[in-house]
Amino acid sequence: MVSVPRGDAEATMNRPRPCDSDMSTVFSLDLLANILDRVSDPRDRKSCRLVCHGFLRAEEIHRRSLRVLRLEVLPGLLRRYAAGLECLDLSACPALDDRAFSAALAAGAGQWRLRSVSLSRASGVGWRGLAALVDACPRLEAVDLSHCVGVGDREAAALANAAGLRELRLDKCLGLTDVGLAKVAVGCAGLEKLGIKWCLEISDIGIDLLAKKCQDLKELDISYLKISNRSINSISSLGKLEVLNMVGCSFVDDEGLQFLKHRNNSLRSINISRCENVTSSGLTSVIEGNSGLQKLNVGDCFPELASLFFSKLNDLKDSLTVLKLDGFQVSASSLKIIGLNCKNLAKIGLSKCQSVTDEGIFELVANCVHLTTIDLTCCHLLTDRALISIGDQCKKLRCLRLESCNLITDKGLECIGTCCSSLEEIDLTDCSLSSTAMKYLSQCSKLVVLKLGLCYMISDEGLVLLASNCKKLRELDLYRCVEITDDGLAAIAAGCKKIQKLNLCYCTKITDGGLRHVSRLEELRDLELRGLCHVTSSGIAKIAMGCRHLSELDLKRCNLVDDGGLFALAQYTENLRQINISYCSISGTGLCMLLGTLKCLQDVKLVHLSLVPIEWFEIALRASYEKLKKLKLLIGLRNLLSPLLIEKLHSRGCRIRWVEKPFAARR
Amino acid sequence: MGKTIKLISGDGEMFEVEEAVAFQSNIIKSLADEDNADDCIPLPRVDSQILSKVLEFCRKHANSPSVHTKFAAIPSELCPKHDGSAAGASSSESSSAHSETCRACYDAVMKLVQWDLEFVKVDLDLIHHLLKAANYLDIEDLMFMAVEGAANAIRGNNPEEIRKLFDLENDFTPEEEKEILKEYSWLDDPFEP
Repeated sequence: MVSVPRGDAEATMNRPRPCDSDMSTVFSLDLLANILDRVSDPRDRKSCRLVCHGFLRAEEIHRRSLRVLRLEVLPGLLRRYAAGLECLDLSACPALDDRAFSAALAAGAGQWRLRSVSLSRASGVGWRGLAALVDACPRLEAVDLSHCVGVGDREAAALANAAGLRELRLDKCLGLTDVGLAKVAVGCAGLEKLGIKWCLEISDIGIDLLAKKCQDLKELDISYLKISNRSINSISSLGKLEVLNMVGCSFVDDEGLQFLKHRNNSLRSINISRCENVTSSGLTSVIEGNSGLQKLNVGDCFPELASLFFSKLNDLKDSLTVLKLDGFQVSASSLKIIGLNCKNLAKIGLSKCQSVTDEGIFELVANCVHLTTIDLTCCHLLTDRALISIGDQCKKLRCLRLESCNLITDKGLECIGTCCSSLEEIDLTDCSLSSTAMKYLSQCSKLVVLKLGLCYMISDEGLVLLASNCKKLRELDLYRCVEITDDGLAAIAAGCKKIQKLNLCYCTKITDGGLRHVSRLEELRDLELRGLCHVTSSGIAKIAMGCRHLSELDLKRCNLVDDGGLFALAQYTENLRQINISYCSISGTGLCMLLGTLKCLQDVKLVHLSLVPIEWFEIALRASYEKLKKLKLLIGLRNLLSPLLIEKLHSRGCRIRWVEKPFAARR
Repeated sequence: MGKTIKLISGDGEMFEVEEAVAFQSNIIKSLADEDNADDCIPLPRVDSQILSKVLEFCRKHANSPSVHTKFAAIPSELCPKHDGSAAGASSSESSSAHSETCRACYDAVMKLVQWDLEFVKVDLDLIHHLLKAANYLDIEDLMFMAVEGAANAIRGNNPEEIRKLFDLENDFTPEEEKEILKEYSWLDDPFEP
């Protein structure tokens, strides 16, 4: 064992070690970095860091991206990785503010090669932090500030100094006006991707200047803005525009869409869903002359699409791969025309197209054999015959959504299970299926996401079948599958070890024994256990100890859960970010322990905690106001909590939802 | 047997191989182009044991050059089924398109990958030599597979096991280990499924 003199830990780690010279005769640091590049499993990466200094350094020089979950380790980590880091994600770092952010950037001063930074939802960061960022990182190309509702023109001015900026997300930055947008447009003339969704203060004037100054724009998201046809005219001058999202632009009509005709083949994807004042002719003019269009989303505008639209799709016959027509009445003959015109279609969205029939599906898939995603949510008229058509023709199928297709039975899934071996995702919420369907589905060994909510007849037998072959399952939704018992969970825990998201709400037969099985799912991140009236703190404690990566937990109406459960969570689930303990039998002590200890907690729902006195609410919230971003409380508390506390919460960007809910249990 | 190339290893042993086999090494290919008269190429930095292993790999890959790194498919003119009679351009796009629809090519590539994975299931000392040779001779596919072999040695093992495999000492103090564990538990490793 090579002896290491004690000293400053950091200096020790940076000094050349005897191990390094051994390493370089075996594997050079660069080669080792190359090898570590292939090691992607986080558990293996963790092992590598502990092998020796040489491995740690190789990981340091090779690591290009970092996502940090806690503020106090930020400076140390950044100092270590600054030299090679290109992408930094701080969106999940609670209580990040300008001071901490600037201090963290100083840790790697002069070395920064950062290209992309995500500060999404980091409501504590303002113009000072952004100025420090732009100053410290000369290679900055992409910044994400989406959902930082306090961000406004001053922040935009700070960003405008990053002349090399290519990508900027300012979605839901409610403070942004035309003034701020203008500063960005002038300062960052090389901008290629911009998102200003929901920035309601932006008007035609801002868009006009943007279009004049940023001629390199390739992707633009102006959804929900109160802009008019004039803006579309301005946008039509952007010669390189490939992706345009204008969902819910209610002030745009057919006249505006005329400007999008004949864009010389640069346009690849357009989303004009939910634009209430648009009609068929407007949508048709979008297709005209844009023969390179690959993705077209026109859902939820109005009920009836004229047949001219469908025949115009012929213009896109070689390029169109994604077509979304959610909410339209689509007849069988229209589907036939789609099939004949767009043979390369890979994804089709017919969600809420309630008039779609088996015949229509048959006509569609007869020609569109390359379909990988089919969304038939709420297509109530479809029966097993539609599934048989799909199974027969679409061998490459990866994702199938059939929520609320109540006429589907187990038989329909037989064909799907046998023919669609590439199936990865299937949504069967509210379909009348039993465990026999699981027998067929379990043949799809690549299944990753399975939604069986409201399938009352699914039993443990079905879960056993599933667990026997679907080893890649990551997401399982068993909402209100009331026949499930602990035995079913035992099978899942043994067979589907990669599960990250599990919904067991209202599966009331589950007891602590079942949760003991669930605790063996080491990768579990999101667990919903609403209404499990037999589950106690003992079961919750087991989950806490076993599922160390748990990030979201819903315990609403688990009325037997008391402080013991919260103590266990406070001690073990260090990554917990979101929790709902409404209607649980916890006291003030438990609440304080939970809110005070868990450093990553950001989203808390605390409705009807009748055993918690007001003073304890006050204490618990004071202990955690710095990190909380979302809080749900009974409206009665609004007048009982101190105004100072509420003001402090708001000032840190915490959104409080006051609800009026009756105590009576839902059936 | 087509045109052959003579290679001399660092310890003086001679290997005679077909051009298609030897030319997977970009270095050998460029050396052969230059030296027209003398078709004997010396490779002083590779000894015979390693060179024979390298040539074993290249022999297996003679019909599917750069299958891992460039084409991800067999060029259609080398397809075992079509026997070089396939018409059309041999650009990489049409090669992958060809392999996507040709069952024979797909199976051949899969078999090759299996063979490669077995080939690199060797001790790390040999892998290291293969890596050095692949780097020196510039053989892209061998480099790719050797790195894969080394990565495979790491996967699924704890730090102590990795140390044993790579023949390394644990040079961390207990304090350092604790600090690493602490700091790094607040990292979210992006996991590519």
